[in-house]
Amino acid sequence: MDPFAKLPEECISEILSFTSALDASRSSTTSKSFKSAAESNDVWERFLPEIWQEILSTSVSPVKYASKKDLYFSLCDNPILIDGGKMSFSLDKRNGKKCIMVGAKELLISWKGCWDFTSHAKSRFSEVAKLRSTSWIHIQGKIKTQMLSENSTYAAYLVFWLERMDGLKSSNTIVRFINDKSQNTTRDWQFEARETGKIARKRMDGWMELEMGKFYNGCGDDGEVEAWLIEINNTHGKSGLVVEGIEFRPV
Amino acid sequence: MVTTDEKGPLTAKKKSVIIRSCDGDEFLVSESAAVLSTSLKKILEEKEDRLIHLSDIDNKTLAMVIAYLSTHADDGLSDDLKRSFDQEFVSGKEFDVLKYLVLATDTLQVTCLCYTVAKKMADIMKNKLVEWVRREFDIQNDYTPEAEAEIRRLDAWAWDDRQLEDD
Repeated sequence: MDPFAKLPEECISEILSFTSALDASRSSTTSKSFKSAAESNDVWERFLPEIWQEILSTSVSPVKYASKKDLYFSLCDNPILIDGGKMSFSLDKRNGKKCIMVGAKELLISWKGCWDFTSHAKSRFSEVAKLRSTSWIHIQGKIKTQMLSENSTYAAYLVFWLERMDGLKSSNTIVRFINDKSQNTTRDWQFEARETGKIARKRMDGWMELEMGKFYNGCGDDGEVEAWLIEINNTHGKSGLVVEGIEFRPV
Repeated sequence: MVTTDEKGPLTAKKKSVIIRSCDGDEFLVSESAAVLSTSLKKILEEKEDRLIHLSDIDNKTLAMVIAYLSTHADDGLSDDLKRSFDQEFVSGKEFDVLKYLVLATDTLQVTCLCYTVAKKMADIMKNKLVEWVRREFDIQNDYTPEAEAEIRRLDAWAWDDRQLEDD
């Protein structure tokens, strides 16, 4: 006798809500009842960041969704502009962790006179930074760690496009914590010199990206993280670089 | 099997309740422990009788739930000790045992234990083959091969280069 071999849908939902979007999506192929349990709002609400409502409230345009699952995938596939359009917000599909791109307008770009800020058909932001001509490049983007998901390793990426290959061969990048009060002596600066052309990758959205460095976001109370891209070694004139922003996303 | 040191038939003392499993075993439980279950609390508020018969929870599962309730009702234990009890409680338990537990905690509305057990089951489920899930949950695949393939196609992203396990 086995009166309760079958778990009711609510129990299955409860269990699935402790897995991940990946496991829940895969489990939909188990059976029809499993699929129904795996699509419940309770499950997907658990996969969204805890402060999802707060984030949506800062969205530049209202976000419409039919269910929490719908919202989850919408936030994965279609980044929303938040904070007056200064940055974009999306989710990592696998684990629901927060990805934030700081738009070009919000970056600290030295020798700004050498750059044009213009709209770009492929950009999520209203403006991108287009390098007219310069010999030195220095771009800095920063983010409050509390905006990112806790206990996660993140990387910062420069999101860019090269209209032409003109003088841009290599660059140095640094990712570090600013004002790291808790561990100001032990945390190493990450400083890496890289051949830009070799490690840049094409993104799904058509842009290119370059990993600037990684950092671990513990409890989100480490203040701010900054990512720099510097090219001051080679004094040849450079142009053709279009910067969309700096993205912080889990690795 | 009875969880009390008394011999002979049980009589409920003041501030305690007798809970009977579907297979007839009786457990003497303090009222303070019983009321941690929202369902038991409701029953106790509604009836005078101090005997509660649970027609769908077996003795082994009930004994485990009661051990949990008694531990959590013990004011002498620190929250840290209770937390480590919770971890110990689910560790090493067979998936099947957890299945009965999650069902019992759902019926009895013991939210904290339900979460602990569900989380443990979720941890075990991670990276498992669909066949594993069907077997362990005792679920029949009621899809046609075409329908299953279609669902898989719609969620294709979740199936990319994954190493899944079957044990």
